[in-house]
Amino acid sequence: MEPFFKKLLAMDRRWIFLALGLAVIFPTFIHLNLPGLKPSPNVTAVYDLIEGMPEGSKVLVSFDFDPASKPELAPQGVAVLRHLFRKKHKVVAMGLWVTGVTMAKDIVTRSAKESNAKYGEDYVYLGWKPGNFAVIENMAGDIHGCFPKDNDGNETASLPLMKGIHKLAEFDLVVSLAAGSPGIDTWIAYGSDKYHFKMTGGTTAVNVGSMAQYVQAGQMVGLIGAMRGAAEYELLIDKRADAAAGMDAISLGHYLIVIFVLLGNIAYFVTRPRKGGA
Amino acid sequence: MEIFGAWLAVGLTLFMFSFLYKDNPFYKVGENLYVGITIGYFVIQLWYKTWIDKVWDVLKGEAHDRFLVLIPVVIGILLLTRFVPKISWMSRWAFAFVIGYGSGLAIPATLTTSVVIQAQATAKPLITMPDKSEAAAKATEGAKANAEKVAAAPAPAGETTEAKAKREEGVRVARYKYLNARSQSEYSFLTAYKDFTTIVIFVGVFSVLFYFFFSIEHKGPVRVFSRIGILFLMIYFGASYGNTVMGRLSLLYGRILDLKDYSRPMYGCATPVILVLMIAFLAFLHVKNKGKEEEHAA
Repeated sequence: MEPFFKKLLAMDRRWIFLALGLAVIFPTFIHLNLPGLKPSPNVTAVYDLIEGMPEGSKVLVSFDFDPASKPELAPQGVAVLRHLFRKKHKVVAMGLWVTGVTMAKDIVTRSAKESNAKYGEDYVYLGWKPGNFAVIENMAGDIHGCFPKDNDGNETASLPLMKGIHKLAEFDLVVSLAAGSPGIDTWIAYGSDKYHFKMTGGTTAVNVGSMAQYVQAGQMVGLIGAMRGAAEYELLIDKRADAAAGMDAISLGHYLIVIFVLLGNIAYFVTRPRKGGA
Repeated sequence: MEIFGAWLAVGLTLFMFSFLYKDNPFYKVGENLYVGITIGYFVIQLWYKTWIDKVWDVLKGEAHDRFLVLIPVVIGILLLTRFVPKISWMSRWAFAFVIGYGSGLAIPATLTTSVVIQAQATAKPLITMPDKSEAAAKATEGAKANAEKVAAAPAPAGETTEAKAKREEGVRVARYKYLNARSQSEYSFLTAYKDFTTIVIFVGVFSVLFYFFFSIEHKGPVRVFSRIGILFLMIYFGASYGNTVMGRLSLLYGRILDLKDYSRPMYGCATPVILVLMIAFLAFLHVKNKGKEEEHAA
């Protein structure tokens, strides 16, 4: 066995890249429908929060990510927006990441079109403003002053939906879908903790650990974690889409990595020099 | 235009992925374009969203205090004096403003959010006292009735596998809500589980803090406790790594979906065409470089 494991340890790592690539590509052609996808308490909490709000509630959705995190966070955005529009809530969208402005607009517009939501009355896309936390502080005092125009150049004050919203605290809920900072932590520190509005959100897999502390401390309600969280949300709103379809690929990739980790460890123990050996 | 976008997206994705093979000209082109386009995009957004919206339009307006906007503009321009060594000292005023304003906002907010509230959440009672109020009992009864109603609902005729899974999920969620409500009003298994979680958090926080205590020697009980801290750290690192793997695989899946989508004839079969061209060029480059190496060796 030892020569085999020695060869394994010396193997060109590009074979691992290839194997992983094939494992992720395979389920895009043949759907395996692997079992095990169930809504977790954190995702259910976000769903219950939106589901329980009275019709016409005002919700701010902040797209705090860029195309680099699109596969993880765009499905979350689509699922949450579908739910919000289905419940006839009023959506104001924006973003704190400059490189995500156009992508966020595309997500909002597509979701709104699908739900026959009317621009200016059912939803508004404000776009981006520089300043990270300063934007939140500014919005807390005067949203119209912070965003005098929406992303398309319309006067914000002239939009029917925005006529009834002047301060951040007037929103019934703020949702931040964030890939890092500025994001959920910024909204909590400069927004919800200070001006006392309800806060929830979603984040990438890398950030789930650091954002979960805010859920535990009651600073936000629930948390949608990565593509898996998006798939759970799709399950809850009964509309399976990109994220649910991607779970097979992710699972196969995970199985493969676990096998590689185990093989690597076995190879290490089999091939390591023994005590007193040559 | 859509076909051009598809070819661009496929080309740049494959250029970046080609680094997995080895550093090559395609990757270099992709890398430099990424940096350049990001900065260009940022400048354009900044121009329209800040200069036009927040300065130019304000100055063109009729508000009596419109010229106040020139104060931050001047402070901003002072930052640019860094490029002129003789007057670069003026940029310090702008930096002083930025740092003062930033620190003034950040320090109290961060302390409240990340220290005070987190500490409060950690210092929870280790044992939960059941809520014996009438409201809590009523909430439990309501949740119980709902769970029973959902569980007793008959399956519709011709139910699909997906609909069945959804219905069963509904039963599970209703049951969980009932158990959760019951755990508030009486001491149940779920309450014990929640208390156990609180105790784990308590032990985790303090043992990790002990591990980073360097002013006392780690021996005896302190050593044992700090070792427990290491275990917690290891679990955190493992979970972090697992999450990172999941995140990276999601990103890979996202790109592969796009590549698959753009391989359709309506996009001019962008993916297979570019892939074949790239492989051919890399193979040519490989043969050419091998020839050069052999010449060198000779």
